[in-house]
Amino acid sequence: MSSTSQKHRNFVAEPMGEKPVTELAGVGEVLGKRLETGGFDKAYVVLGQFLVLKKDKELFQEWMKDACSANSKQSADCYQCLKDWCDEFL
Amino acid sequence: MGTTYKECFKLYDLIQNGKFSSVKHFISKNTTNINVVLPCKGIGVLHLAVGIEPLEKSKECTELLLKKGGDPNLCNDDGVTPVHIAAIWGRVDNLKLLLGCGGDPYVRDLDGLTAFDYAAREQQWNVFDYLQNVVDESNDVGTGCGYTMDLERILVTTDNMVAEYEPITDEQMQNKTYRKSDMIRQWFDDNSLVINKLYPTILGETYLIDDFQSITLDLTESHDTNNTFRTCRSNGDVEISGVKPLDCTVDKTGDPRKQRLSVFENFSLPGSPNNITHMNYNTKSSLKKSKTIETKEIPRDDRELDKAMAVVQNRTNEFLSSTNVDRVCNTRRSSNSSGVSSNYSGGSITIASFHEEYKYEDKEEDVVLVEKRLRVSPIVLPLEETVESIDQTAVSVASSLPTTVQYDNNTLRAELLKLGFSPGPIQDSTRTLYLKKLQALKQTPVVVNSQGKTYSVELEKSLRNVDWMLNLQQYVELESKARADFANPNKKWREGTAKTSFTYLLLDPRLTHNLPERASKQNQHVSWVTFVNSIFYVGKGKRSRPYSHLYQALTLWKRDFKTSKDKKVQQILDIWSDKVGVVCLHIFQNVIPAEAYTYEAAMIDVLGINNIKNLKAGNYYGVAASWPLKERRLLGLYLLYKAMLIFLSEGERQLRPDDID
Repeated sequence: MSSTSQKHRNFVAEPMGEKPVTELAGVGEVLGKRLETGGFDKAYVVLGQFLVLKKDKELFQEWMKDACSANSKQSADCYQCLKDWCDEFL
Repeated sequence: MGTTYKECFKLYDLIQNGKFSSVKHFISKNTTNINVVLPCKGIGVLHLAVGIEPLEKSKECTELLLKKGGDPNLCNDDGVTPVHIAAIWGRVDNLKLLLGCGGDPYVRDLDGLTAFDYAAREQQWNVFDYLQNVVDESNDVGTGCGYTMDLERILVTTDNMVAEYEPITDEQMQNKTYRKSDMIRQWFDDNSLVINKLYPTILGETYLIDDFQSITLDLTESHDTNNTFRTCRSNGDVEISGVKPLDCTVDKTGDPRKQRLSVFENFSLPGSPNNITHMNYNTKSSLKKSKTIETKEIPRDDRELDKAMAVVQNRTNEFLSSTNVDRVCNTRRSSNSSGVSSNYSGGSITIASFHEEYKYEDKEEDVVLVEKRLRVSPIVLPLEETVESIDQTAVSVASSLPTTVQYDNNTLRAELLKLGFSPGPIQDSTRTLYLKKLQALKQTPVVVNSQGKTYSVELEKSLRNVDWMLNLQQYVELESKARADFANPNKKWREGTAKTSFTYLLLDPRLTHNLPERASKQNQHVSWVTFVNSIFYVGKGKRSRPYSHLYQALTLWKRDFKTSKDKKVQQILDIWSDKVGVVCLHIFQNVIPAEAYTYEAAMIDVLGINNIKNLKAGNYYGVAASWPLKERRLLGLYLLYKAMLIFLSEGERQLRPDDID
């Protein structure tokens, strides 16, 4: 695997607790706003969706695209971030 | 551990002194690990069994131990394996079994000698020849044709019946130089007409078919042939299918192209094939017809069948209607699962397909194989108007898939599962996603990598991307570059420049499902995926013995082995156990050995050695040897593609031992 962003490493380093959705890698201010309006205000809500989709990368990315019009880079980052977090803490 | 030794010592003594039956008894009773080298004796029990006198006993014991899981490569303290011993003592039969079970003839003992060396040193020339011929295919010792190939029979199958035709050898015929395939083709053309006529009468005229009522068709259309077909459905019960004598004597006065064929028609009704027992009412008094078109009654054992008649009468309708229903169901299922909606061209439905069966015989090696060739283009049988209309309405209903809104969560789940995708919980938040997924799946049926294989990058890409077949320019260039080098006669190639080699692929018919027949009806990309997934071995052969790569497996098969340590042999045995033949695809015929080796290596590389049963990657020769891996794989990819085209046009040929049925 190539290098990951600092944001990714920060997120994966510890339990997510009550972190806001913007803490997820790939989710910046704009996407964060859109997600919040969709009810996904916390990172764990996104995690919930991630899990409901059975960690399926394709479906999750598709969902990101629908929910906040994320591009594929953003959704891939977010997916990887949640995936690594799950591998670590779930 | 102590007990293991004790048991093994006992077994050792039994093998040395006792009778075969007591050894057998002992082995069936005990479950000890027999793959140990006994102290003091310095060998294992298999070593002993391979080498003892008399030969008969040795053979039996070896077979028994191997079936029990004996390791043919077990080294004793001197590095000697049972394979070595078989070579030293000239036990060819044992050696065949050992090698078939995964024995390695290249293993060196502590003196650095292999089985070859021992065979040569002990002057066991029969062993040496065997090793040369079967294992090491490098030396083209017997250049002549070591085999014969004869037409055994022709099968015509439809959903509901199997008809079997056997050629009768005719002295006159043999003197004429006609290519067999031409004759068969001719025969097909002549007879498809008959079958076309025959079949609708069975299916279409529902009410007219009384059992045992003979339908006589006189065909005097072409060549003044008098074919008299007498059909009767002898039984409607699922368990019994009647084989009834059907006489068809094609008069062949004058025209040498006509063959005389004796015909046995054999209807089996739908139902689990396991339940079908073939009863032979095969009255031997086959009717020798003169040129008159008079029909004679075939003597039949009516009394026995009469009882069944009442049942049959009732079942006839049931059976006929059920076939229709069956077909409708099939259609719906397929249109659902593939998503490629019904392009069921109205007017004709393909149901009959022809098989030819050839007998392959290699007398020297005592090998008999049956090759079943499935004809590529199935015969299109016209059906009655009524049946069509039923089909079409059903199809149109099935093909107009409910629009997204109409799917409730359960149907959606079921549909996805059917396409091989297991969805998570389907809720409001995930619903649209799954609907999209379903749509996507239907448009391009998933590459179901059911075996969990991951191929090389190049191949994976080709499996995912549909369009690569459209632009093959770069591949063609690669291939012609490779080929040009081998055409240079001045170079010295491994194993000379005789153009006697070919490359072959072994395919699993359980995965291909007669791909060539379906190929015309489906997307070529789907065929490609199926084709790639079904390949389980890539090898190089030579013309004098095209099927020698199956000999090992056959040796084991004859002795009822069900397992082998050799992965390739194991796979072949598995396939044969499922009562089908291995599909053997010979490609790139008539090339020099080095070229065949190169092609083999390229295809192994592109498939990935882990995905197939080959033990080692191949060797490259010529200019291809200097290519980077990526180019070699691209070459392999293109070769595979060409192989598929050959496969699709040639038809599936299944090879099986003659005792499977």
